[in-house]
Amino acid sequence: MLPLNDTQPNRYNSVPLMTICLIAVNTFILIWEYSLPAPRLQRLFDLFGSTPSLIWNRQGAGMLSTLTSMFLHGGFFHLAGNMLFLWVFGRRVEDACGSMRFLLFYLLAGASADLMTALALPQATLPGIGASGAIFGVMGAYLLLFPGGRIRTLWFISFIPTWPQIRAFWFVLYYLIVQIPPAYNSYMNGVEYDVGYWAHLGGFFACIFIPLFMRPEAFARYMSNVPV
Amino acid sequence: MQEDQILQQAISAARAGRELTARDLFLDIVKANPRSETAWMWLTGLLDDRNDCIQACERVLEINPANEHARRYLTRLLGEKQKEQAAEKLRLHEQLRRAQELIRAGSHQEALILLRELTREAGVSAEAWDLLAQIAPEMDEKILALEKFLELNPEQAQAREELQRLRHFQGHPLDLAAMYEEQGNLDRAITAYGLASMDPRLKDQWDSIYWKIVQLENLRQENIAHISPAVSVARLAAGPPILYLLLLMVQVGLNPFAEPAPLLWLGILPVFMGGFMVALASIRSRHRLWYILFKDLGAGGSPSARAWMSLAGWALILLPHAALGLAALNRLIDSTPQFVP
Repeated sequence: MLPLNDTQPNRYNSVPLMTICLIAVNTFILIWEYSLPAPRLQRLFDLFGSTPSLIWNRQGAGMLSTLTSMFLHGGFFHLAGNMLFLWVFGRRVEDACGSMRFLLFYLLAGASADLMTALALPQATLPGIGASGAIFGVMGAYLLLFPGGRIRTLWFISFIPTWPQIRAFWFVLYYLIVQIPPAYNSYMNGVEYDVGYWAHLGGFFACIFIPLFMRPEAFARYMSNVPV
Repeated sequence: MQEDQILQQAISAARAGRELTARDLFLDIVKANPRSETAWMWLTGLLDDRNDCIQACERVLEINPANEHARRYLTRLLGEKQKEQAAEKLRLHEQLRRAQELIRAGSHQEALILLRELTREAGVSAEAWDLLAQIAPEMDEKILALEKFLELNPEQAQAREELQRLRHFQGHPLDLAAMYEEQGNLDRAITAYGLASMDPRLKDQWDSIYWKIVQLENLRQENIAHISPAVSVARLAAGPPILYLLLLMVQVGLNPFAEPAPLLWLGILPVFMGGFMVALASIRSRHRLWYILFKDLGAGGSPSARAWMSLAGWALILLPHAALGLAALNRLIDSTPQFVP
């Protein structure tokens, strides 16, 4: 189940500048990553990925790794998936916030994702990379701001592709629920997954801060129970 | 005719009940001879206005300080005057109190009518002008009320500043419209933007004014709640410090006491200040800071003032983050023998 696009138009700015910039920066960094030899790339991930055990021991790049890990990806499909979600959900969230405030919220969601991972899995030694924590924050914000929004979603029913419009509420809820069993498993049994499930939940949790970043008119609409 | 003859004639007229004739004759006498005690004395009883009577008594006492009759009468007149003044003062005070009550109850229109009547009377307090300045719907009336208030209370710097601001609005219709918008008074804001669009000086801004009117009309139609600029500023100012706090928690290993870094913790203050300044610059809000820093009288500062405020705010936000980043980088270099990836 992949989101293709958000069917509603923007209200304030037609061009989501910061979302495009984030996609561009992430893409350029991945291209640069491809230019590095494998050992150096691994070293890059070790140094600038976010590792919970290093955070707890106050080693490594500390807060810098929180910021850098958000812009590192493990490969094309990792990046493509994340950027697709960022494009679909980020466009209107950015519209409701304005570019700079959207960037701050995005970084805040990334930091929240890192903190949640460190809290839940303090012994984890695998460096976490990817923008998915921050993007889950953006998805949560989308859910709060546009619960009635409709997401055109690619589905395969018996290998036949369909692209119905699904309510954002169900779409985000689905993605949230599927994070919970592996997150629980990693917490209870210490299983280390390649995917940062706790980061996703932590990023999602950051969506409660979205009212602090909304533009005044969007906030007034939100408070008046009128579509943002 | 001799003065004595006229005096006799005037006294006769007064005794015969022809008061107007008598008064005119006595007035002629005091005009010709201002030191005629008898004429002044008669006039104390013939003049209509109490203040004139008081003046006549005073003249008599000037000429003859031993005139006990004039002294007693003057004391009586002054007592009456004082009593009347006190009653008048009480009445004005009562009306003012009623106007205040009406304003508190939200009946601005009634309060306005009352205050307009009140300020037409002599001896009205500065408070009445102040109230009128606060609730008057028209700019000219507000300005007049503030001018009167300042005549009575010239040392009120805030009122003087407000008066300057209102005069500024007269020459800057867009600022006026923005002020109404800030107050949540959409009808007045739309009207003010409409008037601004007719100003030939603002011809090049016609498009943005038009979009502003469309936006406000949509808000009015959709019945969007008005959020006060103070709430918006507080809300928007809170975001950057939370981000800084989360990053700081990562930096100190989720334990603020393990590695004391007071400077990094103090960094939250400039971040908060910066967040406040950026928030202030991003919405058109009337704040004293605009006047203190830029002597700007409009609602939310001029575009250049807002740009400077925003720039300074971002600098304040970024500096502690940069310091935090440097501390992190320093730690990375220290703990990594071969740093270059």
